[in-house]
Amino acid sequence: MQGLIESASGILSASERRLENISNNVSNISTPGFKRQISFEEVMSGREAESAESSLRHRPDLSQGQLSRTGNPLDLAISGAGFFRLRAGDEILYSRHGQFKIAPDGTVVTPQGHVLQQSGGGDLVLERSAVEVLEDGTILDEARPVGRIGMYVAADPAAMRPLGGSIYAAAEDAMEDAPAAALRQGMVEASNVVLGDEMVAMMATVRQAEGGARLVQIYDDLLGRAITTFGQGGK
Amino acid sequence: MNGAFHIAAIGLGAQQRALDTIANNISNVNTPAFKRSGVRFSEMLATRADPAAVRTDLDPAVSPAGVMADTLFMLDEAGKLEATGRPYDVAIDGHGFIEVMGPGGETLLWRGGGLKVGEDGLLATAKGLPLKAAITVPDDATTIEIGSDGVVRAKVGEADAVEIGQIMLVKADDSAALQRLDGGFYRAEEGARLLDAQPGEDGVGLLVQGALEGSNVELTAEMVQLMMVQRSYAANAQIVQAADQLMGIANNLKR
Repeated sequence: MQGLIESASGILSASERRLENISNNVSNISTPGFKRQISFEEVMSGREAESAESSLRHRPDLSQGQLSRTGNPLDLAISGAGFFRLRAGDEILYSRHGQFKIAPDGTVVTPQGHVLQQSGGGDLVLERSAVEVLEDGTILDEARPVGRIGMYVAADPAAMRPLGGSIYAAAEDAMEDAPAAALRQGMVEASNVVLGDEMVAMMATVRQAEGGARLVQIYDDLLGRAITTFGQGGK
Repeated sequence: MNGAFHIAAIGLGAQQRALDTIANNISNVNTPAFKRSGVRFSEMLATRADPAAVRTDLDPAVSPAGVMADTLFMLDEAGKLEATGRPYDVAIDGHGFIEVMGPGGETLLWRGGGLKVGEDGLLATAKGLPLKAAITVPDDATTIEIGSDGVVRAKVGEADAVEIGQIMLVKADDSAALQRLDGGFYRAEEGARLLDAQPGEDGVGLLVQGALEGSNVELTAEMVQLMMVQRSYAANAQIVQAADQLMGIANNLKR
């Protein structure tokens, strides 16, 4: 009997986390380079079922978003598999969010303040934003090459740990140069969130929570009945 | 704690900001030399609010925390030049700016527009800010001519036009270093590199007399954006409702 209440509370908290994930997907429907996260429950083995909460996982759907033109020289979209390498403090992160601007010190940063890295390492430093970026990441300032933006891909997709829908962490040696990636200047990659899917998932989540609540009520009912029945028997 | 509530609320706020930006763009669709603002969304992570704060362990407590929107004005996108035929209208066909003297004596940048002759005889913007070039127009001048190279000539009576000054243009290396003020003026942030040049040189562009630069707002693009924002706003509101339902379910557990 004890398992019933545990799974019920597991269902309730899992649906809350599931909704949290849907919420993040929906809020980022316009974030460039955002990849929607899919929640899924891991199959629990046998009777050693832990609470459902610990088995809820998220996996990014890495399908390509549509490219749309913005005309900004520092809006860069990656077509094909590949990630920009960014530095946050002394940490290396990966992202496909390609809207950059030049910070006062000349480094090229994302809106979150992460610094874009050159191919081969080191911060990319630009004097001005009116540069030409070629498909392979080479940057031309008045036809003179001034740097090259690195694009990387994980040899083993499992080596990349999503920190959100658009930022990933990975060990540096797990990443290699992306041969299939092409950079498009003046474009952004739209988020691949599909609103309809998210709304369906949202409705399913609410119903799932209702189911969990019903389980608790049934458990409560059974317990109450047991107490009254056995209470009468003891007379 | 119910994270969905907060994330959706942040999403609503970001869409609201985007809507404000679009509204401002649309309302300035006929403002000469207006530069539209673009909205840039990016994902927020809960422990990444401060990029300078260094964390060595990423696994614990990094969780998505919604979206943020910031805006960037599209200075490099030129508007269409529209001929007005008025000799005191001037537009810049290129990336340069005309320098004017602001109210506090500071230098402001201006994309062109209507000119007038101030009370002190100086050539000034329609709002009365004199050009930094300090060009005095003679009292008895019938008309002025502004060459595409910035040379200003005044015509007095039947005589040939005489040169009275030269308008120079400046160009900012990085348009992000410019701060937008109202009235179509810009202020260069401290440390911004400005390149002085004669019109026609170094890509600052040419001066065009008798024309105004139109706004670079594209109504169709704004309308598409507007619909997107509206739908995302509604979707975020739906999530708030669903989060509320979840809480309601939890509250009703105890009958």
